[in-house]
Amino acid sequence: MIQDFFIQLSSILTLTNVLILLGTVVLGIIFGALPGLTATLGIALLTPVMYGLKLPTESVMVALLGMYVGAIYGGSHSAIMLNIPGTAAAAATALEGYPLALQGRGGEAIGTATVMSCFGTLAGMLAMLLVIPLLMKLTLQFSSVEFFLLALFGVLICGSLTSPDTPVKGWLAGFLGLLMATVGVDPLQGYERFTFGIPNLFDGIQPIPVLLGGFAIPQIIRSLKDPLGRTVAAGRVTRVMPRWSVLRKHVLLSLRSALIGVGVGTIPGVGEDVAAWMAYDAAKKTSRNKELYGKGNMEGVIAAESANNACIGGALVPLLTLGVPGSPPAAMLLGAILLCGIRPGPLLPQEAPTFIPQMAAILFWASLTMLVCGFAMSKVTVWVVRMPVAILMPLVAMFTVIGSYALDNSLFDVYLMLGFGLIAYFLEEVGYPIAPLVIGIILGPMADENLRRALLAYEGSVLPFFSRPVAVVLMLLIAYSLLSRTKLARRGWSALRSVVGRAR
Amino acid sequence: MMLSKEQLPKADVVASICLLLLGAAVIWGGTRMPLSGTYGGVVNTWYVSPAAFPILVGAMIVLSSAWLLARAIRQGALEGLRIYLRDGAAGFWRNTGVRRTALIYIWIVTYTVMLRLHPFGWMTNLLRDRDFFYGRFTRFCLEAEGINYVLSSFVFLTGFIMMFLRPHGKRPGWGHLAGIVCLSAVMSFGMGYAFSEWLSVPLP
Repeated sequence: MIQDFFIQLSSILTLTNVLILLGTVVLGIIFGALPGLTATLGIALLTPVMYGLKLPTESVMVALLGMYVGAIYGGSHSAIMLNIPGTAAAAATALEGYPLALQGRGGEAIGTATVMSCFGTLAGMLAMLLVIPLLMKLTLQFSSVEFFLLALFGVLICGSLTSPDTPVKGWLAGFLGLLMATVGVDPLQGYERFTFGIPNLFDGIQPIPVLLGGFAIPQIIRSLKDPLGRTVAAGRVTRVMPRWSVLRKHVLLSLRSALIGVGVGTIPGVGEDVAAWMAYDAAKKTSRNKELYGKGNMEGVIAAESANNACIGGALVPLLTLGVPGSPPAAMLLGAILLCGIRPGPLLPQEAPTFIPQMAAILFWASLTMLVCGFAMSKVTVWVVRMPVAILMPLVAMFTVIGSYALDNSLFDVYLMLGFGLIAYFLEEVGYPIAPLVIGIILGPMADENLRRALLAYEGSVLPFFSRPVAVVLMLLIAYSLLSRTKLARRGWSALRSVVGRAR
Repeated sequence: MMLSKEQLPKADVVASICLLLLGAAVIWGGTRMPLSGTYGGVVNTWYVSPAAFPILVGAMIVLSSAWLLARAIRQGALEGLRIYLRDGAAGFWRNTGVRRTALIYIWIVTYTVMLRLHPFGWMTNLLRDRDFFYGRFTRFCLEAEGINYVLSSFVFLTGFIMMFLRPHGKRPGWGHLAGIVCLSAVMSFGMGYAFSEWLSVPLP
């Protein structure tokens, strides 16, 4: 794998790919910096364009990963200079970055965020290269039982983590996604399920128009319904270079945050925002300068930025090995990968031997491009971010409509996008997260087919679900994700803690 | 989460009842599928039936939404909902947020309808008699799809931006209006031309 990675490092560097990478990283940084435009939406909008250009898979991946890396990082610019996190992943950065900018250290904070984002992406890429071969060996042992349980676990854990106050809402959103995945002609027996005789539904609900609607329409409505109170920019961006002494001092912090980012990335459907908050929280808890948090502490910027970009590599691990996306942008990426005719999963190294090292190589070049463009664009993005949402969002709406049409030249996809967008908006309004729903749509076919295959293989017996070693582990994880948030479990934990305390 | 803590239990009641009904409908739909017997030359047992997974998912939706409904009722949401329906529901449409949401969504739907119904397609005949476009431009502009897409997008963008743009909290002046028209013209033509000519996507 490592050897292939080094070969790919040079072989993907064609003139076309370099230009695409440069363009998409720049676009990604602008996308990330603009409030309301997220990495997921960026990938969603770019997919039909790349698909339309009929480029080779390699170039499509260069574009989409360039956008992904750029957008996750770009949020830090507006978070630091304007206290408006461009993406949810940069919300933790704003807590420390904006006070730093008010102290006249905005440029330094952006420089630090740039270096840390590059470091995080590279750490994620390294983890991906090291973990994937091991996980691939493990997944070869997986049968339908494990794949079904994995899909179910993915939906449930995503629901639990994206809706921490009321996990049942997260699970319900996930079940709705699973339900939507059942629409269409059943792959095993060719029976039409919930198609209502509409020919466009025979192939099932296409994920990309649904994702476009789910992420774009609520964002457009929210941005225009309650226009953001623009905060005054905290001065001009002056010195953009970070202080190397500060970076050297926090090597361990950045390493730990990157590890948190990779770990969170591997959990299905849990995105870069959770990674950034977890790393920020861990940094705050272990810091010697806790009292400086919230007043402009560079540690917070370092932790959040290295974690959210490291999450990208982490999110690609389950995506490539199991076909389970690790974050919402990765779910979008999975849709694009499937469009290109690549099937992620345990057989990927046999079917497309160069694909995984190629993805790692693209991530490597994307992180370096982001480093250069990040420094170069720090003054420009603050200016771009001031573009009124009343101009930006109509353009996004126009692009969303043509983007969902362009994939299959079908207006039905536009109707689907509009319908689903409205549903997603209402669900979000009443506190249902959209990420589990998206994960449900993506993992639904995997869950459906594998459940029935597993039952068929064991003649209707459910015993293997409780007797196969990996299945038992997954069952325990499912039980944990279901029960860990209940009052009963919390009471049980506190009782256990008090018993242990007394025993000591 | 957008609704306030006071509003949320009431919304939970409505949402969970809708989801409960949906789950029940899915289970009912599942029972109409071949559960056993022969279908398409395949002898079915319950576990390979196309209904197995939808019924399972429907049951999970019913259970989760019932739990959510019970929780919302315990929080006293029913009484709050009754009071809201009696006193507050009439003011629903007077809420600026609701009206803005409806306006934004209806405007996007209108744009899609314009793309579907080709209200500007007739202009192709007017342009066909003129001989001032050449090459790719001629082809693009003379196609009913091309001209309809550009003009529909222009109307959509101009209207949308004018509805919501409030520079310094005021209505846009003549200078701003000119800017909006220029931007909308450039973007709608540019996007249509790029999709049609460079990306080979036939326009709707």
